[in-house]
Amino acid sequence: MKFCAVKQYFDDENNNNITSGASTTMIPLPNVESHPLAILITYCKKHLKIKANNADNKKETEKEMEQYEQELLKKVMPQELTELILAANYLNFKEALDFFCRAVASAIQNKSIEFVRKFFGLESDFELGEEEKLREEFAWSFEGVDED
Amino acid sequence: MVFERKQKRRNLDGVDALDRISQLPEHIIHHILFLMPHKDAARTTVLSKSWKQVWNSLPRYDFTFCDGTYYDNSPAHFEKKIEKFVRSVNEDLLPLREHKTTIQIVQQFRLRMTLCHHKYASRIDNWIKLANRNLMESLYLELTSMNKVGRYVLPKTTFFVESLAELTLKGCKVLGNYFGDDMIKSIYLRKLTLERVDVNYLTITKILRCCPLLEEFTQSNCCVKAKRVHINYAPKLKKAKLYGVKKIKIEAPNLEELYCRGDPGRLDSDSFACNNVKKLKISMFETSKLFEDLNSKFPLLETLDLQFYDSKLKISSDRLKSLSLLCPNKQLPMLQISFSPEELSKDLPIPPIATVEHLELGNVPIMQDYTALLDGLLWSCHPKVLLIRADSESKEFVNFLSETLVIKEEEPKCCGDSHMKCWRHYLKAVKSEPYLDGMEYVKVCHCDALSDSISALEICH
Repeated sequence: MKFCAVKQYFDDENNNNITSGASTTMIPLPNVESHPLAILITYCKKHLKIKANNADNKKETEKEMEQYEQELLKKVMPQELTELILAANYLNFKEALDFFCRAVASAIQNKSIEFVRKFFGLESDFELGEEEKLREEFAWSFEGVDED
Repeated sequence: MVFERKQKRRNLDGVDALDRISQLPEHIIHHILFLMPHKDAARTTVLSKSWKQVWNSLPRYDFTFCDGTYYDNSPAHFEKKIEKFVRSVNEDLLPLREHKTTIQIVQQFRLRMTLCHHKYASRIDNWIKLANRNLMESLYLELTSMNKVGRYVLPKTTFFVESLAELTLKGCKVLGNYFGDDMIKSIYLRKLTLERVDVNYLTITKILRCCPLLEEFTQSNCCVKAKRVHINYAPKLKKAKLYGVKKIKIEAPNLEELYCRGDPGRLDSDSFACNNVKKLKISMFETSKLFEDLNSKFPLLETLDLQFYDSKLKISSDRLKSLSLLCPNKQLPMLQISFSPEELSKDLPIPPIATVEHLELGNVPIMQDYTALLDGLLWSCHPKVLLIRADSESKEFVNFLSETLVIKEEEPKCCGDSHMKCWRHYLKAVKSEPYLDGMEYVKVCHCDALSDSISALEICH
């Protein structure tokens, strides 16, 4: 189910397809920026299109979808991923949410702490020695990590 | 759940410097962590306080299963109880089986069970594999096999669960073929206990070789193939307990506490390469020449609890604070405890007094004359507290002490002009009192001439 939040908005008007294009209702989406929203709409349209093209062949759908997703990731900046997740979450768009979560997970796994902090725009707010203690406690998770 | 927002200046380039990720609902971050290998997910605790909080809010489980059965004479009835137990365990483990979108942590998995049939081994295998998949941190297995039922063999993968920090095995079996000679994978255990386990000592050595983080190791009464202990790699080992072994060879540069009990066994100068040991307890071992030069073997030793069989014992150390001696032989041992070798040299102006504050003696044999023993002891150290384990034989010794350790004169005339005064000159006060303990003790306290406070010499019995 895509864009569930928006769908609910339309339920009163009995309109199932948000890409119908005919609707000119203004839907307030205060928590979503225009840029991520645009990407999500494109994603959604693409997904529907691929599904329509390969109505009977699920495997083909998946394959094409994967190709599209790889292409999409190349164009999306890492910082935008968090925006996209927030948007997808707010809009209740499950497939997109899953996809972008997976993208974040694969972007930060096997990376050093410093890299991940930069990726998310985080700063360490631990007290002196606190981080050291944590690193000690989780020493098993630091073994063999790609420190870049 | 919304975390504290960090307000930061917005970069005009469009790169948002706000910590937006922390605004995600917790369950979404949990889902992202779920999509990563466990190691990488665990590392996020170190990112920042809010990420540590996210990790700490993951669902955690503590499982303790005990079949609580005692074998009664009816095998059918017993098996019924075990079946019931197995069913209840399966039920309790359901949350782990259900597919979730988040990492689950099994903080503790404890199982105590009697194996009355080999079919239960595979059930246990499944339970452990299930826990393995869920970031298990501590595993305790106490499995008793009834006769004719083989011991439970621990699944190989258990050792390689990266999050496993503590492993206790009692009554199981560990196979050697998990650990090939080309072992490169690390085991991240911090604490390992093997009690009554069927395992080869070489396998144990191999396991320990793979544990760079191991801090505590206990081996107790394992099978015949593990009567020897050979530890040649233990960089972080702090505490070791080796019980029921015959031979020891241990190299552990950071070891601080070492407890050994033989079966009985034999130690020699090769046995220990652990310079940092502070607390040492040895019993049921022939120690041959090991204690002749305690100082070089254990230069930082502060507490020594020794049961010795040899006829001659010589200890020289200058850091010892507490000494406990037990001589089970009925033979009269020749005790030579010199706490600093230069003591008896006439060249020194002042004889160095050892800082042993607490001296405990047990099984003092009946002798005609205890003078030599007492002189030998008190020459070398002036303990504040002297404890004597009271049994029927030591009564004589206690009486001797109460007679001898009396202040007779202000300045005893025994040593003449010699600058080396015997202990009698240092004895300030003697007090005798019962020592409250399960066992009866006689406590004799001797005060150090150099200390200002007068602590009475207490003889307790």
